[in-house]
Amino acid sequence: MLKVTRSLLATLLLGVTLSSCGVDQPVGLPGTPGVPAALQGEWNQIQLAPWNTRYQGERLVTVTVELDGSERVQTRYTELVSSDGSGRFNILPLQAETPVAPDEPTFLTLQAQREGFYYRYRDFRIRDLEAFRENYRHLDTGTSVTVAGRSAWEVRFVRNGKKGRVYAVAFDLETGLVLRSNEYGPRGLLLSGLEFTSLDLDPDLSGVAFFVPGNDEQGFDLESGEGEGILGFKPHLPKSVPAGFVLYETASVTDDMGYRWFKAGFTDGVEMVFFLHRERGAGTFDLPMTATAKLATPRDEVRLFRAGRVSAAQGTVRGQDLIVIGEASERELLQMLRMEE
Amino acid sequence: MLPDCNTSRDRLLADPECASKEEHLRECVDCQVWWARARRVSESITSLPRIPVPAELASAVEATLAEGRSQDGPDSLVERALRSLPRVPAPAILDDLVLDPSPLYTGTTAQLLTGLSRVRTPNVLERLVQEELEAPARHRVERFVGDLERPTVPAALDESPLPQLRPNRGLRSFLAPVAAIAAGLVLWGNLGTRDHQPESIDYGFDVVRVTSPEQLSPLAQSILGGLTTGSRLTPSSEKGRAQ
Repeated sequence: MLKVTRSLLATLLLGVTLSSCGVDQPVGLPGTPGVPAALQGEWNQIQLAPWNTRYQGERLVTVTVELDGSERVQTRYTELVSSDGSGRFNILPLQAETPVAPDEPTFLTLQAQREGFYYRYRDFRIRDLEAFRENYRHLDTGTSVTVAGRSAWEVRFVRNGKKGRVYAVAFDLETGLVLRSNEYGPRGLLLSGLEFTSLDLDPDLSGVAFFVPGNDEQGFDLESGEGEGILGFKPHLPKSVPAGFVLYETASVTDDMGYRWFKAGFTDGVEMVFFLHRERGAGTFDLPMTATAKLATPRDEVRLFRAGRVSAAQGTVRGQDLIVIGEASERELLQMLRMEE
Repeated sequence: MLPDCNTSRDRLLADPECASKEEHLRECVDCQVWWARARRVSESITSLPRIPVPAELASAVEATLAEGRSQDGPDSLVERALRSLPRVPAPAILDDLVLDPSPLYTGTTAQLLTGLSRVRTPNVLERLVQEELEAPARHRVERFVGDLERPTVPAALDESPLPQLRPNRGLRSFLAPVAAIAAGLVLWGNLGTRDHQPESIDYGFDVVRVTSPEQLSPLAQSILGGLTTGSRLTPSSEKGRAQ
């Protein structure tokens, strides 16, 4: 396993010093003029650490939903996360620390079913280094902290254009794993948090049932043209994406009814927006008609739902079933559903 | 997942009591975890409270049917609908079986059943039922309100408007500027929050704001659940805000 104890610290310090000479500057640790190109490797290790590090640890998960800008509901629960260092992982929810709905067993069962999504998309990751540099800037040069008894380096980032949104991320100095990530909103409200309370780098994983995708997901390279063979229809990307987002992955997924969808994930370096489409055919899931639709307007209809900071839009546009979900403005998400004339 | 896993899981789903005897389950960690989860899901579902059918439903259905019969006699709506269904002739083999049951009964029955064509419920029926189940009260109102007799305005009302409803000049002169200011504030407020009103843009489709994730497809709900850690809380300011 690549040891990054000293070199990562040096990277962070040197990078921050050379690239910004202070605070509130664009994130550009490696690759910035003046910073040795060799330091790029450290960021790669941070990106790869969840996949190539063998570990097991308990984490505390915190999620806050703000209602009407004043009433807040905070959910906290613990989970056991395991990785075999070869790409296989498992998240086992353990215990709710706050009241949860509808009840604790059901809540934990639901969380267990989302382990694949959580490990890949919920946990803080630097998913695309270039996009991360473009969209985020750091607020300080970082501080030395201890998380789960391990030495870590905590840096604070902000997303350009999102006022008051601050990420505080503590990287393990030995492995590059994110040991703690807290996301704060305006007025310092903790929006979401993930923190290791214990970490074992030599775990016994013999009893761990690693995650197996239940949606028959198959990733493919869009430019290779193999997607059409897998999907049975020609996949296409949206004409516009939210500002700062770039294509992160393309895949085929199968829904509960057995229909294949094209899935495209976009990232701004950290956050994700998902775009899915399929050609409308016989047996397609029909959304219950709304009062507006019943007025028999010939126009296509898209439904829009907002859950806190995340919005979801779904509908049929020009013969395509479309879904777009993510933390972006509703206008940007709806623009993604626009189809060519 | 290995074929053994599939076979074992099928057996467990068919007969949960056999778990203690299931040898594969003792050896396969994947299946142990799967079985633990399956039991948790099963327990969660069975522990849900049963919601009884409203007592008045049965009597309401009976009354409606009785009313239909008494009004329409043998030509009631239900009977007309039943008569309009196409007759499906019984296969000849069924007659043979009834007249002469043979030891081949089991096999023949299976052959008969597999020979029958599957009739799927029309999509439109599923959609209409789902729509009605979502908002039964609204649909009852929509269905019956059109049948109500439309009352006419008494002629006397046109001829002599009530004196107390006549506009008061003094009050009007006071209210007019207040109303103008209020309208201006509303307009300003709307412009200020224009970003939250995507409906004002023509995307080439209509945008309908919904207040529950259940109004999206299961796939969308699943991704949304992942991004919100399952939180299905909706800002109350959004409730009822539909275009």
